[in-house]
Amino acid sequence: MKRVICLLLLLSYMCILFTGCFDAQEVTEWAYVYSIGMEKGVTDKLRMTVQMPSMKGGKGGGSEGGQEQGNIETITIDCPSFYAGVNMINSFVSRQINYMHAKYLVFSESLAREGIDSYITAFIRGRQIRRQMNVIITKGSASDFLKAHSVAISSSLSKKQQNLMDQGSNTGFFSDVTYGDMLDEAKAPYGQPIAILAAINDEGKFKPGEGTGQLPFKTSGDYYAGDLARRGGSKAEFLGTAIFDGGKMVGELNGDETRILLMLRNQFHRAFYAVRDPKMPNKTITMDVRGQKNPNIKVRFEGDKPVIDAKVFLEGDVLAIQSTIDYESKELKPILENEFRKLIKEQMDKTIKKCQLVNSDVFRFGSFAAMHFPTIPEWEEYNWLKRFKDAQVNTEVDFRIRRTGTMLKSSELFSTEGKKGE
Amino acid sequence: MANIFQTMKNVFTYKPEKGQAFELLEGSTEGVERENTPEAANLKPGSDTSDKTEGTSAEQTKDIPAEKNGKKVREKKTPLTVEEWNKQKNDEEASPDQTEEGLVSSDLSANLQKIKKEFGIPYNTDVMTRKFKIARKVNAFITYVDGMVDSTFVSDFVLRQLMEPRNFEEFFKEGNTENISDYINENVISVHEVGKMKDLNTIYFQILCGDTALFIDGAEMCLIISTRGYEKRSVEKPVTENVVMGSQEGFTENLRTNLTLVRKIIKNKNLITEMIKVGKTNQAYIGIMYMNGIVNQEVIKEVKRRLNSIDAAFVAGDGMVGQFIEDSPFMIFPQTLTTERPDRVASFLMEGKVAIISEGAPFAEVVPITFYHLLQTSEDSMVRWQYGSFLRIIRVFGIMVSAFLPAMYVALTLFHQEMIPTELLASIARSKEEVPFPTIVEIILLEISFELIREGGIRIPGVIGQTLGIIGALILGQAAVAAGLVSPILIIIVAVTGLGSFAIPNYPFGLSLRVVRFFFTFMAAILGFYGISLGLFLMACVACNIKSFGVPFFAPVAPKTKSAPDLVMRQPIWKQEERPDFLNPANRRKQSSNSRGWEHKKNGGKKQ
Repeated sequence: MKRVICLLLLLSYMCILFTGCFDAQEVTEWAYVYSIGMEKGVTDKLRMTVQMPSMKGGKGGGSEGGQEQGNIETITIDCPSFYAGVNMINSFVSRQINYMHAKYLVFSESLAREGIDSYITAFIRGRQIRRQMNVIITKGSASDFLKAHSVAISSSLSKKQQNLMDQGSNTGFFSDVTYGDMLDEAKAPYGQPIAILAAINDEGKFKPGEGTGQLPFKTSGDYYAGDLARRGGSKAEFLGTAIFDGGKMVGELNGDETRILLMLRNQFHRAFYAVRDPKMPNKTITMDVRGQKNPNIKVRFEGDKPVIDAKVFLEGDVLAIQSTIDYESKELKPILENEFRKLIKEQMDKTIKKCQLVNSDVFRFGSFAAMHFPTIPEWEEYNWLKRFKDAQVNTEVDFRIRRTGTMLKSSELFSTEGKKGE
Repeated sequence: MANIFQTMKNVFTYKPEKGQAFELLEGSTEGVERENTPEAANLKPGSDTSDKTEGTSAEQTKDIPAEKNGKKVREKKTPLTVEEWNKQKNDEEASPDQTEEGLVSSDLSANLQKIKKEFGIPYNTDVMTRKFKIARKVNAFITYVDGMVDSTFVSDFVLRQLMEPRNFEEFFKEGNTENISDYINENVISVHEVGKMKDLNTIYFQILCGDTALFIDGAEMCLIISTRGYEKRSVEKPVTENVVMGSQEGFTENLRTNLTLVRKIIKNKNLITEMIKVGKTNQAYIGIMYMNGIVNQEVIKEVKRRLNSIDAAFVAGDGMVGQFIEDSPFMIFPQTLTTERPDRVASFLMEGKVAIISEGAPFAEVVPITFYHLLQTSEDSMVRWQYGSFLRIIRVFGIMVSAFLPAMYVALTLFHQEMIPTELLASIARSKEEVPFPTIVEIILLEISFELIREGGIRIPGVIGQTLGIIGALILGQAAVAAGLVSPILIIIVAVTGLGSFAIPNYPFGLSLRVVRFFFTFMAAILGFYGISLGLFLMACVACNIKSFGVPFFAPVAPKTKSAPDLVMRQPIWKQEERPDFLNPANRRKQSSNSRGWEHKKNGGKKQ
């Protein structure tokens, strides 16, 4: 009797256990989406694009497989909503769409300017949506952008996506802002969300032939996405930041402004800056600039008007001095440091003004202002985001040169004209 | 209906077991330092053999310096010396089934008839009887088992000596009243071990063991002459427990050799070997070895009780003995430690454990053990502690891999694809593209073929066996991938799993993990990581319940007890001052807290 009952219990346990199999799905039953693109539809509300790798590698996975890895399938469809589109795609893709590995979430600029709040707050409920996706605003069509965003120097798309975002911290030209960050900021009364600005570069800015070396030179970040004068490489370009007011895009920052934004948000890692040589304006001095410590931001109120004192701390190494002036020396080093401080302060004032014009506190000054309010309702009542444009912002930059690279002293050159330099 | 509910209730309700399970409880005299006072009074047979006579141990009060709780005077049994006790033991063993007709008769032909009848001569051709005359005068015969004795030894030192009349000149002198068997024992036979016996049953057994029995006309005694000389394997390198550093000696099938190999390492008079006969028909001897003064007497008692109670016709080798005496036969993990290495046995004995060495297999069983002993090898203490710890960590990793890797793979690919790095996922998906089977079928297919290679590799004779393992795995794996039966990534999984299981030093433990792996894979296939956790939880609950001779399986960790810093991470050898507390050893200290005496310049490094 006991044996029979034990057996029956075991069998019934098995029945319960085996229910676990219902959502077991083989890797070959899924189609993994790497990027999701959304723009305004032509025949429907939304035009959705998914980018996924072709699984045509086949057996072996050896040398032949490597070539196949570059095959990327980009599918675009007009649909009423994201999840509806997923189903519609499955009418011609044999595998279930799986977007748990999606890395990029791309919106077209026109959609963003209209407001993407309804999208970003909507599909976060899906279990497969990851908050670590990077949010990208592209000029022009998202589906064209994703088509252009192919692999150039590496053979793996996902690696490219990941590595490109890491480059953001090396250059400061774009932030690696994620879907989760954007969602948090859109829902918070402390600051405004940002997104990565991207565009297709059709190489239209590039002028062939040998030029004359235009002067005065532009700074390296004085471009928006799609404006770089270049040839070759992947057509998709990431440069600058889209700034939002709530869920609506209200403006864009170029590379230099993005660096300032990151400095004030305490997300700046390092960047190469080419500055004008204070003594020889035609030459440049390049420096490797890093954030030194957290920016010092204080908010006070003069009457009802907020006053913001922001100070950023930077340090850097000299990478290249085109002239032979000895900026390593004790006397000349402060001159160079001051020149750089001036440059950054100038850019910072300009950037803050620009954001105040569209009234978007992307610097998150609000989180410092909130300290002055004893309760959250009072803070929300005050409506910082509305009053940001009236704020008076005093900026200050601290910069120190730490090292001078592998040279301790610049020395003069000799030519038929004699000693050159000074 | 009520009946069914009652039975169901019985299945679910917990009832403590009625039987007296052996518990190793804290004793009052435990941990008191007295290494050189063997406490042999406890060495008497277990409870189920209580029909035998009890030891006549005179009780005597004796003061023990009480450490903490005042000046209590404890009663203590006076220790018997080992010889006394051995004698007492022999008397006990000889006493049962002693009947009048089982004695040696003074009539030589009657003895011969009995021997012939008992051994089935002439049908049984192995047992030889040889009649001859002692010094050309007295009739006598010897009996031995052909092949078990050294025949040149018998001819040279038994027969030649006995037949030589000059050896008996003294005996046949006028006025000699000496018994002939005593005379022969004392003056004629120049053999190291000669015993006098009356009981025929014992004599039969001695003959079967390879001794020669000498029956003399008119003597009511039989002389048992030790002439054992059967074929045996010499001491070779251990096969299952190879090490790079350390001793290269392994046990053999011969009990005597094995005991000697251990005794060679521990040259101490407190190393006791007790012999117990098990196996009703094959009558195998089992040696119980322990260090008197270190070991907990309760454990010895329990080991003897269990061994004495074995009621089976055939017991050969320690593997069978282990199965008869282990605590929980239905648990998957081994509860006795099987080792092939005398040096390991010696180190265990010095920790206060008991070794059971039996005839017929080159292994010894050590009890009590814990889970952590199964991770250790003798090499760990031979190399410096940094290397030893590193090797142990690798081994723990091997255990993890061996038990969980296939399960992890199944769980990841079936349920948790979001945890796989995107590129790896793509390559897994790509390589699985042309495989028609679900992952679980693939992995079971490959696991089983791998187990087949392992099992087949052992059975295939000689040189082919070793190469087959590698070639078979390589070719089979490659071909399976080419044929689209399995995906290449799976070959790696199974190969690494196999490597992991080879890293486990204890073969029975490795076997248990090979079985457990399938359970985990199954759980992963139906419930993913949740299933693995469930399985692990179940397994841990069950394993925590195991006891090996009163010691919990995860002893120094769960329950937490004191032990030398030598569990997984091994600390320097001079820090390992104490024997494990969970054994309740009689002497807890292994070495002084200052075992590196030379470091202290005051006394010039002399021993204190």
